[in-house]
Amino acid sequence: MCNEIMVSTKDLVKRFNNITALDKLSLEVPSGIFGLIGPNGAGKTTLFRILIGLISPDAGTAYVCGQNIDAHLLEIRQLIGVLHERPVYPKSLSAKHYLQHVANLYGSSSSPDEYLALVGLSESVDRKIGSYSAGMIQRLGLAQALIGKPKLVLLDEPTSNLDVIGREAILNLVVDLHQKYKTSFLIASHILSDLEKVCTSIAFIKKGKVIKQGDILDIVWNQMPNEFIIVLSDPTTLQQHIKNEDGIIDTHIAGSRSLLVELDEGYEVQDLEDIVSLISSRENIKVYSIEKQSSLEGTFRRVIENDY
Amino acid sequence: MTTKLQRMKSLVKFELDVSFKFPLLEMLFIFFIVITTVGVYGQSRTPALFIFPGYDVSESDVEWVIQIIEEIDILRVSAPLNIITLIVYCITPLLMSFQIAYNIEVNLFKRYISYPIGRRTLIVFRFIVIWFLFCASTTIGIITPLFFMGDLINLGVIIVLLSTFYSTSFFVVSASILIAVATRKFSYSVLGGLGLSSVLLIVSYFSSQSYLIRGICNPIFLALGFFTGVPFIGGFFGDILVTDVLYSIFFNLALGICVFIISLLIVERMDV
Repeated sequence: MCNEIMVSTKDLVKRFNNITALDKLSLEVPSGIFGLIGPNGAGKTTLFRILIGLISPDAGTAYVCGQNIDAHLLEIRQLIGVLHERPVYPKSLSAKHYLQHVANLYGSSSSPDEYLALVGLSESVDRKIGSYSAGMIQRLGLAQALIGKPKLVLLDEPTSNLDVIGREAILNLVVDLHQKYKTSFLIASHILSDLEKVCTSIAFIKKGKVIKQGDILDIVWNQMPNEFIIVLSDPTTLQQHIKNEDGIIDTHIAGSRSLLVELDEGYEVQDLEDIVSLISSRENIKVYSIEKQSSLEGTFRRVIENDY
Repeated sequence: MTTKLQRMKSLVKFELDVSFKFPLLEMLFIFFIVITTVGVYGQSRTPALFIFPGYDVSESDVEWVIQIIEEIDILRVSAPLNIITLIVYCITPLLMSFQIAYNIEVNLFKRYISYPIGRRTLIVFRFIVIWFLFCASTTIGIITPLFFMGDLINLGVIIVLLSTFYSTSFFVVSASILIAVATRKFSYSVLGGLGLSSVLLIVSYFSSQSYLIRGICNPIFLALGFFTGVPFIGGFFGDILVTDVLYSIFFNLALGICVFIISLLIVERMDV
C-alpha cells in the first residue's frame, strides 16, 4: 500500500554536461492532486524521469509510494501510471489492442473498452493509433496511464494538444478518478488555469529547486499582494487619474478593458471603490467590477519573478 | 512464481505484437530456410567457388577444386552457411538499428520501460528472438534437405559447422545491439553496424592476415579449412588443427558474450 506521502525527494541533483537540471531538489508530494509548476527548463520533466527510473540522479534520494527508486524500480512502475509529454505509441496497433497489452503487463484485469470510454475514445477503439489526432493520442495516453489501476499517476503536460472541451473533460476525469478510486495525481503543466481547477497542493520549481510548496489556496492567498483588477470601459483614462491618489502603489493596464491596481497595506477594497467611483463619474467611465486579484497565474508570476 | 511467469508471457506477447509485428519474423524465418535449403540442394550440382580477387586461377586449380567438392559433401553444408553468414552480417545491423536505436530515437523505448518492464529484459528478449530465429531457421534449412537426400554426413562435422554459424551470429547480433545502444540514432546505428560487418568480412577474407584472427572474425573459414584440407583458391594453406577451429569458435563466442554484457551495462546506465 502507498503511504500518505506519494513522492518524497531529498537533495536530488541531476546535471546534463554543464547544465544543472535539478539542484538539491527536495519535495514532498502528499496523496491527492498535486501540481508541479515551473517555467520551461525548470526541471519538471527531469524529476519525472528520475522518479520513473529513466535517468539516474547524480546525488540525493527519492521515494515513490514509499519505495526507494534505486532499489525498487519495477515495484514502483507497477504502482504508477505515466503520461509522458508528447507521447508516442506503436502506430500499427489499434488502441484497444494496445491497451490490452498494457493491462496484461500490469497484471490488471481492467477492460480496455471501459478505459477508452472513460477518456472519450469509445467510438475509435478499433482504429489504428497511427490514424489518431494529437488530442486522441493524449486521451489514449491517459487511458494507458490508468489501466494498470495505479496508486499514483504522473501526468506531464496532460492537456497540451487538447481543445477547450477536451481539456475540461480530462480535468474532470482526473478529479472523478481521485474521488472515486483515491488515485493520486502528480501533474506538471504550463497551463496554470488547469492546475488551479484541479490541484489541492502545488509546488513552484525554478532552476531545479523547489521555491514554494504547500496547499494551493494558502499559497495563492499568502503570496498575493493587495492587488485588484478593475474591469471598465476606459482603463487608460482611469490609470492617468488614479495613479497619483493616496494609497495607490502601482497600476498597469492588464487588458483592453482591465486595469490592475496595487494598494498600500491598510487600504481596503472599499477605499479603492470610493476613488474609482469619484473618477469614473467625473470622466464618464463605465466600471463593471472591482475584484481582488487571486489567481494562480498571478501568484506564479510573482513567486518566480521575486524568487521567493 | 506464477505472477512472474504470467508477466513474462505478457511481455512475450507484447514484444511479438508490438516490436516484431507479423509477418516480420515469419518472413525472415522462411527466407533463411529457403536460402539454406536451396544452398544445400544446389551445392551438389553447381559448386560455388570462392576465388580471391587478384588470384590467377588456372584450369588445373578449378578441376582440382571441383574434384574436392564432388568428393567432400561438407561443402553442401559450409557453402550455404557461408552465404547465410553474409546475409546475417548485412541484415542484423539493419534489424537491430530498427528494433533498438529507432525505438530509443522516437521515445518508444522510454514508453515501454515506463511500464513494469526492466530495460535489460527488453534488450535480452530482442536479442534472443533474433538469434534464435537465425539459429533455428538455418539449422532446419541445413538438416532437413540432408535428411531427405539420405545423405547425412558425419553429425559431428555438421555440429561443428553449425556451431561456427551460431557463434558468428551471436557475435554479430551482440555487436549490432552494442552499436544501437551506443549511438541511439537509427542512421548512425545502421552506418556503424554495416561498417563493422564490412570490416569483419574484409579481415576474414584478407589472405595475408593470421588465419586465427580470420577465424575469430568468421570461424566458418577455419572449420572449412580443417575439414576439406584446402579451403579456397588463394586462401590460406597452413595446416589447420581441430583445436584451431574450436579456439576460433570459443573466442568468437566469448567476444560476443563480452560485447553483449557491455551492451547491457550501457543500457542499464543509459539516460532515456
